[in-house]
Amino acid sequence: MVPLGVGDLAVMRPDELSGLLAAIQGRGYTLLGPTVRDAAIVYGEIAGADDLPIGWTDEQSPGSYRLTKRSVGTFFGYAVGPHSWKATFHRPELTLWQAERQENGGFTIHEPVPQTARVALIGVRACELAAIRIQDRVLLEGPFADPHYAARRRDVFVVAVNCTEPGATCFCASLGTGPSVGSGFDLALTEVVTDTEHFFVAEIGSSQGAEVLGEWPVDRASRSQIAEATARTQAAADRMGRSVDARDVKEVLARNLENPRWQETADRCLGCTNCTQVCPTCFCTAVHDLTDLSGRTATRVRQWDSCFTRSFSYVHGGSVRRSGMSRYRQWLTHKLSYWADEFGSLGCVGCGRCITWCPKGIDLTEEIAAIRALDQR
Amino acid sequence: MSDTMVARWLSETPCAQGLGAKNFAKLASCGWIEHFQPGAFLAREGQHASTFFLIHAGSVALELHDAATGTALTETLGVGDAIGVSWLIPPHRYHVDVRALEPTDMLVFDGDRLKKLMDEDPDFGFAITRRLLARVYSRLEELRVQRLDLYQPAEGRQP
Amino acid sequence: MTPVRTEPWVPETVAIKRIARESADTTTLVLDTSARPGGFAFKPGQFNMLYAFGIGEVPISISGDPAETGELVHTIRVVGKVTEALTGLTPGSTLGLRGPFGTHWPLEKARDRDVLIVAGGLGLVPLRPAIYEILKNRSAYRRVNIMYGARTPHDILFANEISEWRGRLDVSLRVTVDSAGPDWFGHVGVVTTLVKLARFDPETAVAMVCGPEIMMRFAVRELETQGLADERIYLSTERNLQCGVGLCGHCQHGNVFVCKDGPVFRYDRLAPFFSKREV
Repeated sequence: MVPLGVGDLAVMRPDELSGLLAAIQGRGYTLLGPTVRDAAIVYGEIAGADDLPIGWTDEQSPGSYRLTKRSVGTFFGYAVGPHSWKATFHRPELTLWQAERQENGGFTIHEPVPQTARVALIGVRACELAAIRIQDRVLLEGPFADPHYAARRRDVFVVAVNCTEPGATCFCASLGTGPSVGSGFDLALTEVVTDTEHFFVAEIGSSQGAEVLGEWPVDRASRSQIAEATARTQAAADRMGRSVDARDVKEVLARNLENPRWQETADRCLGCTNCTQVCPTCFCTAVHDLTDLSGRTATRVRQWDSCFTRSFSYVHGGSVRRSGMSRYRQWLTHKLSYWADEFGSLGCVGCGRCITWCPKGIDLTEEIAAIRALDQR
Repeated sequence: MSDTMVARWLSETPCAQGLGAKNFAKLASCGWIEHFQPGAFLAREGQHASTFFLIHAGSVALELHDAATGTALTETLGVGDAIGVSWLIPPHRYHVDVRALEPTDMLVFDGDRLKKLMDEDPDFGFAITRRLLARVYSRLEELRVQRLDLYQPAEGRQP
Repeated sequence: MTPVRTEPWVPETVAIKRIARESADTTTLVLDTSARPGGFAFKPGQFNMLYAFGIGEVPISISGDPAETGELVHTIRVVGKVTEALTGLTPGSTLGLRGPFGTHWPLEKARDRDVLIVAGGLGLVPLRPAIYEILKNRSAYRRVNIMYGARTPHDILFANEISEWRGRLDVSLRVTVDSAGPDWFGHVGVVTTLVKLARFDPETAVAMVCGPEIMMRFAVRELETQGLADERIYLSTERNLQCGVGLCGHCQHGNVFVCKDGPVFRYDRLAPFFSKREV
């Protein structure tokens, strides 16, 4: 049998998933994947396929998220939850350095060695691969790279999953970021459940992916199996709950800074920062300088920050963005307009998290449509 | 001699630009030349205002004096600037002291005569009023910025 | 293209060599960079992040002469606890330094042209290195106009140097204050009123403007009135600069990051949103 190579499609039974994950683990990777915790599907360390949310699905709508059991034992039969992979690479909190007072009154600075982690991400969706790519551009490809992010991104094995169950708040199809993955993975699975069968079609995205899959005999996927898989991702694209008209959204938002819709939305927005926390591309951080009680050791800690706080835009004297209106406008205009000027793509991947996890159910897709409707040309 | 000097100086001021020969002659007919030594007052707050000035050379300060805090320089004006609209607007009294800061050559106009000509000839009146308004407007804009006290640290400033 | 730097987050330590009081709330720190390989090279208009031990870090423009790489000069106004701590340090003490960061004044583009420098208040600080460089290579530029507005005569920064520049026949320097007592013989009024007194060729002159945002907006309008095109007007702007290297997001202003795309911008880059509120 000809060994499988990059671009080839294999077929796997559900009970082979454990073996696949074990083979990845065997190469020294820590497995990170979706798992049920606190009534949500979140990302965390998993021991194997049994820790995946087998038979679970989610029901999402603006401001609402519920897990329910399905009649079949699918492994990936849900959309994305409140976590994204950004926490893996772009840590929510990080010590940047410590400074020690010296006898002569000066001080020295010790920097930690950026930590690498050999991790395998299991069940990465197309929108999340797009989000990782976007964060790479921001944090690695500017004039300065973040060494901490770079270290954590260095050694990653990606098992992607093509979406077959889009959430009601998803809109990746309209942004061209999903539901099927294009590149940036080692293996990409499509889970297929028919009346009589349950199998995965596995696309090989890298030589490392081929090696892992080559550790036991797998068959090439048949034409009908491939067709079943393709039909399901195509159906997911067609069934997507929401959409954004992305054609000239960059220009529309840039010329609508004084659109009356912003104020209407701001009147509903609580400024809770949920949307920025769940967003897989939001990258802003703030630093905090701390000292111990003796005053001898000072530490600089970096934490995720949010443009929804007043302090975010502080210059001596006060904040540039004092009103909630200006802060909501900043967030949305950054995501879908300024980002393109700064980094060459939109900053939104259509995952819908900001819609689901907004306590007021503010819907980005609806906001863009409303601004278009009142376009101040 | 003096009349040609008035006309020559007047033609160099922004105020005279685009005025047209007829209106220019009318305005020039109201003017004469005066020279002020540094420290000399051109006008005193409260005084009856019947003159209009255009600075040909030198500079003047507009001042307000307060018994408790002393004299404040609110604004300085230099070459080409116009001083005074009080001659045109009731109650025809100066609202500031005007003091020469250096040897200053001035075109001085008889406000009463100018007013009479402006009333008789609305075209002339409008041309002069428009020029005065433009000057008053830009001074107003400048003062708006000035009163914000922008160079204070932001915390000490009034919003 | 700028090479990728890997350690943008960590300051180096540097010692204070001299301290000079400029005005009631403004102090100049001279840092000793002579032991640093190559000294401290920067371009006029760039800034550094200065760290006071245990207190915090703030962005401060470089105010010294770019030719003097053995020392690094920062002029700091007390506006918060970090600037208070920095200006309270004594010669010999240590502070943290990251930089230089950001874009610089268009001194190359201004060559063989008339130059207009318009500074308001502390806005003179980031322009001083540009003035040094222009005066050092005076023949490379045509008419040089320096216009500076301060709050009162007591707030005029670098007063000795200003008298020195005023004494030069090849520089036209005008200073104005917002308010003054009768002992002031200079100009009173906003700095923008000085623009129409300057002699320059509006078709080719280059303007470099720094000061409070309202002052810069008025200055731009006045320069436009005098016929200067937006592509020859440069501003240095201020936002919440935290990382200095385009990674933390705080200094966004419209579609630019002030730390890496600025702080010096060609005005037409900012024009679409510069007058919009809270952008």
